[in-house]
Amino acid sequence: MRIASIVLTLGYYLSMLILFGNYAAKVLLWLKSKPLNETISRKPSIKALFLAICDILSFRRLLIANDLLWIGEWIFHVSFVFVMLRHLRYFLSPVPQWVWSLQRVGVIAGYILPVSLVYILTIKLPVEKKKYFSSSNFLLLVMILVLSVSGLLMKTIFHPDIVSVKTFIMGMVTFTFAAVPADALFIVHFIMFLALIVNLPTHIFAAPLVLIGAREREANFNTVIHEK
Amino acid sequence: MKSKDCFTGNLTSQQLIELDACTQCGECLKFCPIQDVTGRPSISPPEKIRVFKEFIRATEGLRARLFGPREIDRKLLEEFTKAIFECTTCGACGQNCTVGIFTQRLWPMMRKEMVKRGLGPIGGQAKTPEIIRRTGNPYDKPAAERFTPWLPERTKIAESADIAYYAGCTGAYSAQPMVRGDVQVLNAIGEPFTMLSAEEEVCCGFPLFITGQHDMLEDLVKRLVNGYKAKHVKVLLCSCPCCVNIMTRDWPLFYGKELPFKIRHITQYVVEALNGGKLRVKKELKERLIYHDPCYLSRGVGIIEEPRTVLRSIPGVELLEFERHGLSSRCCGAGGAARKVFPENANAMGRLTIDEAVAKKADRLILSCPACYALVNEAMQGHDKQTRIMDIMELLGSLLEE
Repeated sequence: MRIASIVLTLGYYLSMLILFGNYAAKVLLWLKSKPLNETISRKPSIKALFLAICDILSFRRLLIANDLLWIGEWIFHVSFVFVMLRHLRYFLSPVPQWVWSLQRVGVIAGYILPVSLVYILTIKLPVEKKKYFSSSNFLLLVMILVLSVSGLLMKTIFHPDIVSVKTFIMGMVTFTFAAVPADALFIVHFIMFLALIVNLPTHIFAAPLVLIGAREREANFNTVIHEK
Repeated sequence: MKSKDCFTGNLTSQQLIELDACTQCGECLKFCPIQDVTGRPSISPPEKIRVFKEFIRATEGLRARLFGPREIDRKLLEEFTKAIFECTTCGACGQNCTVGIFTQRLWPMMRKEMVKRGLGPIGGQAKTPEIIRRTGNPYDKPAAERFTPWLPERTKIAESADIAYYAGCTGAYSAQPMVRGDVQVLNAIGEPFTMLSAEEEVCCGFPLFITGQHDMLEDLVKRLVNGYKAKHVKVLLCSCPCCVNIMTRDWPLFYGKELPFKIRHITQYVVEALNGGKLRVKKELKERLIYHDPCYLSRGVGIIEEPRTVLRSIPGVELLEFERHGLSSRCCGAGGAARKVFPENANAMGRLTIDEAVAKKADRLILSCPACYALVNEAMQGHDKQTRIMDIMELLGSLLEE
């Protein structure tokens, strides 16, 4: 298990480096890009920001485009956030009270997550085969499905040694090497987590910014020609 | 230019973030007029974004920064260029985008990038700068023919005035009933207006902007703006959506500062005249009219209600709507300067517009864009469904005639 522990620990650091490296490369691009080439006011307003936050939280634009998909996507994203928050207890020591208080919700979200993924795939696949098929999106959904099912199996049937899981993860986070638990399901789960980190979709961070921009654009749309 | 060179030189930080924000959900395909007629996902909005992101990743991504940029396959670059120029840039994808990407602005900038690399534009579009440089218009027509064939007799053009009228090249050379209607209505309103001479009224720059050929834009814009400034113009009127779009959104950028006059679409001016009692339509028209929103007028600058107000001011008119109208209108096929380069697509899109107008039992299909006017008339030729096509000002002008 020592080799597996070394490989997985290095894999964790490598995936984090790729994640942050990719974003550093993006920030460099943003910094050297052209200034806004629009004459239309993009003046941010409290109202536009409030509406944008509502859009981000409700996925309003997806609701308008496809209500059947919207319900699946919204449940998936919300449950994903709660599952992530629940997992913070493995990465923090001491564990803050608010993380403890989210454990029950996190467990429920853990049950809902794979169901929502199956729903999304059921809605999307028949249509996407005819229209636009994004193989990267499909692989990502399958990856998260494996991740969530393996997590659920560990929660319900094949319980790993939770103490050694925490020791292993805290070892990585604090740069003090610790052995990976000798549990095949956990290793699969962890590898999927690393794969997700490397392939984390960029829209997670970019879409909220664009939604804010879209609301600002809408708010100032009537000044394009009407009130100038 | 090498295929390893960066692809982000023409994009703003907001547009780079927009590329990252695309979720590849494909919902926009339902609204893409190109998809309606070709059904080819390879030229769909998410695929264009995905491929462009691949170009950026290969040249400026993390791996490229650590180990050097990768060479991009020439065929892939050419296919992308064709896809980006086949688009009508109508912006329906962005209007319905689940994260709100401003595609009506993004596609022209991608086109500019491909032009910079010597891959675009496609076909006859490449000759546009030279033609405009030589003749002042993209139709390779002499300035002497710009106004004379259609300008109504007894039209009094003031030497200088608060109001100026810009006819635009497409209206002047290929949709003359439309511009004649404009001037008939201006004459009926009775306010003095001025125009630049046929030699001075050059292209507004839109055909160059939309095909990514920006080199001449500053010169054209400065010539026009200074021409109107010399005539002490306070309001510049125009009926062409593409001209109005570039005038409001981009002329200040190329002029270098705020314009010394306001830009107004002609329907705005007509609505003011109707409200102020300067214009009244007395003749009755007992017909069902269906109005098509031009993409660069509705999604571009938000002129949606004014044309409808003008049509409703005609006694007896029953106004119908397309399924997709207003901000969600479907491109008739004339957009993006793709009409001449991909005529089959354009024709098929035009026929979808005609078919819907016929299905809704409209007596006339009302347009308010010279490019739409020319395209839908072309699409009607040889088509099994027929309807009467008229420009909004052409119709109004005909009802004002003594």
